[in-house]
Amino acid sequence: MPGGLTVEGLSKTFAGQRALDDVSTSFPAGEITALLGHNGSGKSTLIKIFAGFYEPDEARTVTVFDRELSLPLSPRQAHEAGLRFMHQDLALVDDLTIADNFAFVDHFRTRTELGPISKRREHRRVAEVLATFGVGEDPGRRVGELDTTTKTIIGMARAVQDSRTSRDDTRHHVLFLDEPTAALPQDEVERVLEVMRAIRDRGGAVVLVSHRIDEVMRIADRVVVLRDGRVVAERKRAGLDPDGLVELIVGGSAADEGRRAKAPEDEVTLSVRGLRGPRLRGIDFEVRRGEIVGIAGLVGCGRSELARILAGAQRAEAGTCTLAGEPFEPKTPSDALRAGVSYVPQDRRGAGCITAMSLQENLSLGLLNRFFTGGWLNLREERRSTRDAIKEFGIRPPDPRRLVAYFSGGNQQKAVVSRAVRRDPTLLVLDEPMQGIDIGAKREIAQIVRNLADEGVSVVVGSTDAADLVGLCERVLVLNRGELVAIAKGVEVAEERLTLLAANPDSEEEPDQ
Amino acid sequence: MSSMKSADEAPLAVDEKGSGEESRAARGIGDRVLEYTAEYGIVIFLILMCVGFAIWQSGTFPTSRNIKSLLGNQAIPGILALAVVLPLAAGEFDLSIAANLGFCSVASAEFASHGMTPALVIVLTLMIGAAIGLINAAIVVGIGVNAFIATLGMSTILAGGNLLLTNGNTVFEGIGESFTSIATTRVFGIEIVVLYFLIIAIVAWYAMERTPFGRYLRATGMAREAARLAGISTTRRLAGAFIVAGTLSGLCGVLQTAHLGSAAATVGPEFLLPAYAAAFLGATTIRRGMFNVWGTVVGVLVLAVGINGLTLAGAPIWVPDVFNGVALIVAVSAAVLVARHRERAKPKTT
Repeated sequence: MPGGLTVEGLSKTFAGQRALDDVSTSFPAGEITALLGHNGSGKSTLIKIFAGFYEPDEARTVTVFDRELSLPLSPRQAHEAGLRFMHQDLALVDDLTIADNFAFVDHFRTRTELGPISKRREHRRVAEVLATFGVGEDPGRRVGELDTTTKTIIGMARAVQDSRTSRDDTRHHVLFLDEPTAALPQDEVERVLEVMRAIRDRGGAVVLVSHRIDEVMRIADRVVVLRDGRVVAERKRAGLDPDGLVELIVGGSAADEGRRAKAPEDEVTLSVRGLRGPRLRGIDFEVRRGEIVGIAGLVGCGRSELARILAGAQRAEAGTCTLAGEPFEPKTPSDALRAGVSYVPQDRRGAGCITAMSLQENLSLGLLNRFFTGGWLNLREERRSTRDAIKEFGIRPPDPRRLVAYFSGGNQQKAVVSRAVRRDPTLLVLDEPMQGIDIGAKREIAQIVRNLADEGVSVVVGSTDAADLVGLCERVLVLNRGELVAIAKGVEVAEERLTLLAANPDSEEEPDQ
Repeated sequence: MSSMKSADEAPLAVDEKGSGEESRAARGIGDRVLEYTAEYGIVIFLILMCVGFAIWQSGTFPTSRNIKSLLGNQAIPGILALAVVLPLAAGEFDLSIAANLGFCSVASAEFASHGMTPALVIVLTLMIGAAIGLINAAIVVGIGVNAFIATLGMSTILAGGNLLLTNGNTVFEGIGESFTSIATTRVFGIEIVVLYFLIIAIVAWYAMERTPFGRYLRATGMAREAARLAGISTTRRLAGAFIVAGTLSGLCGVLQTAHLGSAAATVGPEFLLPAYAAAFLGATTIRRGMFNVWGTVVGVLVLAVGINGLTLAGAPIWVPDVFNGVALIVAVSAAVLVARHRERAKPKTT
């Protein structure tokens, strides 16, 4: 195979468990390969071996653009071979300029180590690079002032530059991208995909890790699917349909989309009137008992703010809320929890769970008084109750003492959701619960939410990805710039329609209340 | 650009099967030995040091007299080290504990020399210590000033207060035996302050490990926003940590005056580094990576035994300071290196 990356017979064992089992695959030049699989399927282990972070069990060679390199690589060797990695957090320094951020990877192009640095020349060169990727920003701008999409493109453009240590400036790269679009508003994803195509068309190999099936269908030339550390499929994307792709990832036939066992009741649990905040501009809606209501909209539409106000994490500027007939104006998250509102925040790792604590400690956060009897924490009772929750919510691996940092994203999210559910809420508020987790975990969380609603709990789910709301919500409120612009019901809760409404509210008729 | 190196934050790090506790048994003997050595490294070091000094300075170190005086002299620094564990666990520094000790030492000396009963002196001084903690809490939690700066400022104010109270003199007149006995009474030949240290350690362990308060305090220190969203009042816990630290510092002040029978205007600052060194040493053992009570007790003993042994061997005057600093840096470095080794999860060390 010409160019790109080829590897054969790669295995990696952690503590007796096979994370990679005899993996042979290739990421050819001039193609975008989607690397797919559940959290824990071995994708990240594979990438980390190339990044020089892990050693394979047995020495192997990897061929990168016709150069044969022996594994393990050091991170420096990987870089010099043209292997590039872009992480979700982009590793850009907000307080520095675009040009200075380039210099980290690219080094200042000076004649000697001691300079002199020509700011003008640096800026001109960076501007030229950015222009080839369709970014017209001034290289002297602070990265912190840019929007996430532009930052993502800059991260990608930077990754495929070469430091002056390499002789050949036109050399090609294998670029690994970890969920580059996960944090982007849906209408801007295309700009990032366009940059991926540009890198491919210049002869680079692009490896895309993504949980967004629609995106993979749109952009990938090939798909490589891992399951339990093995390559279960490696084929052209053309000829695959989304269902087939999901089937490959999940294994066997895709399970049925879940169904509600019961319909929502008529009784109103939450009533919101004229709610205002820094973003929200007067929102009215109601949620009935046992109803699952979605909130769709682009980044900045006020969705997170609405969730935070309901959770007591932020104060409303005006408006009234009623919860189960009582006035509801939480000043703190604990007020909201006492009133019966549980919250799953958007930032799972930063605000949802405490990654440095064990699963058990996370699950009983805020609930310890249940186990505090006779002046002592009953640790055995806490452990027993944790095991029950692990079983009930299918958290894997089922080890209460394992640090939350070591769980996959989907299992971390199940832990956060299960803690919220364990408080027996009357209203559950979830903000982007499906972000960055695999399809299997998405389905499990959707089913947890449905079961809860069947028991009479009211649920509000916010998401920028309309696909997450379809099949789950009875009604979806569409927000645009802080205003409620439409409410979709029943068959109207379809991905195309929600996306259209969120992006172009003006093209639609007046919202019906 | 290989930013995936930052393993602790990598969302890609989803299948690090080698890192969970349950998998420890499955790893090689070498890794397990390393793991245990790291976990109990400081404890092993303490034992080796005791054995070493007992052989080297066999005439002086392993005598009952030396050990009793060593414990008696370390009880007050020990209680102070426990005082810093709470704010540290909550993620904040309280640099005013040593100055608080100094101020309370001078204040209690003044009270005692004016003929107050020991009980009244204790109550008043503890109230002063608690009040200092409350003011710290109000500035840090209420106003939102960085704790490092706020308590540094508080330290300086208290040092000035000492000079105000004493005019720079040492207070000793009128401090009677009824007062000094609260620290110097002997129980089984050991000064009673050692018993206080032990009782406070047990209570502190109980509070940190067996109550919701301790767990929530740690949660506050690890991820304040996550703790708050889980319904924990992080401000109350933080304020509580400062007030308890202040009260314990005040107690150390009374005991210090009673132990010496006097209070110098300059007492205090010399207690700061050892207290932090002990707490940081403690965070490398027992519950590794977390500030914990028994680890801190071990840390206090490591510093005490090391300095005591070297002093008996005739070490010059600059050795204790260097020992304190070196012990802290070496211990923390070792913990970092081991954590890094574990993070990389090397395959099979046969």
